[in-house]
Amino acid sequence: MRRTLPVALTFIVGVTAMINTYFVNPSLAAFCTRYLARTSTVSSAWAVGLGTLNLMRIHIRRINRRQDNWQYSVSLVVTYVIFLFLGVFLVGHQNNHFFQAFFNSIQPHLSSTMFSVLCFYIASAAFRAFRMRSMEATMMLLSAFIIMLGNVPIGAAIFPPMPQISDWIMNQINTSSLRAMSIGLSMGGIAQTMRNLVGIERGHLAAE
Amino acid sequence: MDIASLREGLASALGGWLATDANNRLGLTTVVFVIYYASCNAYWIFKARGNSPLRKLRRIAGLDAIDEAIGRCTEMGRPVLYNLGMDGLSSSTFASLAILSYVAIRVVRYDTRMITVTRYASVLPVAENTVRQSYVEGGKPDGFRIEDVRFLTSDQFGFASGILGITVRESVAANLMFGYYYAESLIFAEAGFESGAIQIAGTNNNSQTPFFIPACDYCLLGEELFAASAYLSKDRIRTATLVAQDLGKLFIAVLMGLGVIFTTFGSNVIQNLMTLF
Amino acid sequence: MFDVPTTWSAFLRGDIGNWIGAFLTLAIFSILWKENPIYRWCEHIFVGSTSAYSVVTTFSSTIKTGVQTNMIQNGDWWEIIPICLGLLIYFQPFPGYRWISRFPTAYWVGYNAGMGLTIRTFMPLLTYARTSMLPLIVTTNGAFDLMASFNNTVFVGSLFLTLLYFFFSFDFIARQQWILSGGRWIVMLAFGASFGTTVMSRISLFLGRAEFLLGDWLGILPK
Repeated sequence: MRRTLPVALTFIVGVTAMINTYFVNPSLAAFCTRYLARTSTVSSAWAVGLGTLNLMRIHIRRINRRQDNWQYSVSLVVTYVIFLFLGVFLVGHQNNHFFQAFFNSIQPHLSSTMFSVLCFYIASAAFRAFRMRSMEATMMLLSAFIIMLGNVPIGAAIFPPMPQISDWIMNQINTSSLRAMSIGLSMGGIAQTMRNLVGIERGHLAAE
Repeated sequence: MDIASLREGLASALGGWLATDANNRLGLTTVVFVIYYASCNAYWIFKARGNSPLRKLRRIAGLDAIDEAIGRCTEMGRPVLYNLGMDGLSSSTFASLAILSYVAIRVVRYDTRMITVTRYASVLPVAENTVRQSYVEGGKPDGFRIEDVRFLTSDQFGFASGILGITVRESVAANLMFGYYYAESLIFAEAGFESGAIQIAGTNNNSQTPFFIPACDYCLLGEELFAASAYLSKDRIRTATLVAQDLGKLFIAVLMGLGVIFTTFGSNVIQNLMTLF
Repeated sequence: MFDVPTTWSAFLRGDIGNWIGAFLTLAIFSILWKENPIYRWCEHIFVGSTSAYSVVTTFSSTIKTGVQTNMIQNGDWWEIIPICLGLLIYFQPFPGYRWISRFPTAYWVGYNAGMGLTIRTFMPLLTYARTSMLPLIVTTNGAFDLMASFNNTVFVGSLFLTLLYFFFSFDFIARQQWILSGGRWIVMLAFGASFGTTVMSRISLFLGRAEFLLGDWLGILPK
């Protein structure tokens, strides 16, 4: 019963949400939007504390036991508590001018810098790809090279038809292949979702 | 055949109760395809419950290498890092959880440490359950450590930054990345490379697969990620759904083939039949 | 509930904000050298601040709105049901009671599964099929168009080859080496093209950070 009821709940909720989109039924559509969707949004919002509990448990335990890098866990916990305190108790919560200024003095810089680190990592990955370990890696390298050259003026200077070749690869090979893969991925996603819905995949149900 | 009058007739018969897309008019064809696909699933699942042999699956190198990766971790005494991807409770995350279940059972068997990381709090209990269940099935229920299933933050680059740090500090020997990834995929892969880890990745985001291919030792292409559940478990029911998945693609391929042939000879009959309602 | 003077916000947005930003930028870039204490410290600040921010956002946009606005002001008392469902997840850490946390998970899985099998999930497959029905012989003004016919043939051929590569359970296809090799080659060409397109956008991201450091922080770049 403890396993059967959740599987039944999954199936009933899923089928109701799904069936609503196949038929024109305003009352069913309104029910799904007002109750089913809202229940999912509200219930998953209240679960946000579980992530916090996990994060705090790991870092507070590390601090208590003076494990490796416990000092950095202190900075994590202190930062977390400061932001949580400010965010909950300042007027307007996350829309408060000071909270936004405080957050924006930290997060956008860290985020955009992590993003820009990709520039260096992409060079490192491309360098390893350039070693042409296999015919397939060579094909990938060649294609990337042509596309890059085709999109900069020097490409046309080196070999005038380069931009046209680059466009041809994008339009004929890239588009068709990605479309075929999208078909496959969609079918794969549908199959996986169907397995979740009918209870073939039950790994998400807790061990007792 | 008068397509226009056929369309009018179907619109009056079906318009009141069957949904369709006003621009593409693919509603009826979609319903036919859904019924076909559901029938394929029903037939093959029914067949799988019996004893008749099912189809053999073709080899997927990336999935075969998982055992090699775990073995390497056991020899070196270093942990496995398992990354569940950047999505919530989506199909790709569930595909990843199926692989996690397989990996976790082997990790328990070889007494190797595994760190599982997730970006979303809603995925965390599911990941914990999967790993805990593997310890229970492996006969070591007390071996499960809650601190080895970690939530960091739901911020994209905050998560990436945290994973980069964990990968390097914990000196992981195997970096397994399965799920949906965005631009930060290369950060995970490069961190694993720096750590000297064997890396196996699979994502259903086609724009990130090109970065996993040069950075990882093995990479699942496209929908190989979704085939993992059936391939690794060798479960008959899951294999049956994979056969039905292939039959769904066959439907699309045959439809396209017919359309190409007819269009080459100057007829749009297939497109017109597809867009009746 | 309290507030702080707006001058404090202006202070953070001014020069001190640039100095904090520059320090954090250089600290993150230091990972390119090797993992070090400064990067580690910034990483922990990053995780702590963003994790708390998402809790605050969820609290004010969904939790507080749900209780204060929807339930108390608008009288939608049925919302107590999803709140209770969400709270059941907190039985997860307790052995013996863990089975109770299956219900919210089951709901989320079911709802997500249902939304993943809508008619709009299947429609793009048929849209792809329809838009890929290209003629292999193209005529322009009554004359055979070699280039367009060649392009369409390559397009359709690549599409079918890639599609066939991803058939897992058809033994006949798995035994045809030309399908497996050809499909893989086409896929690699396509991924190479995607790689090439993305490289340039990644370089421009770095240029944005360089512009901040040299322009906003050091003032070297002319405005």
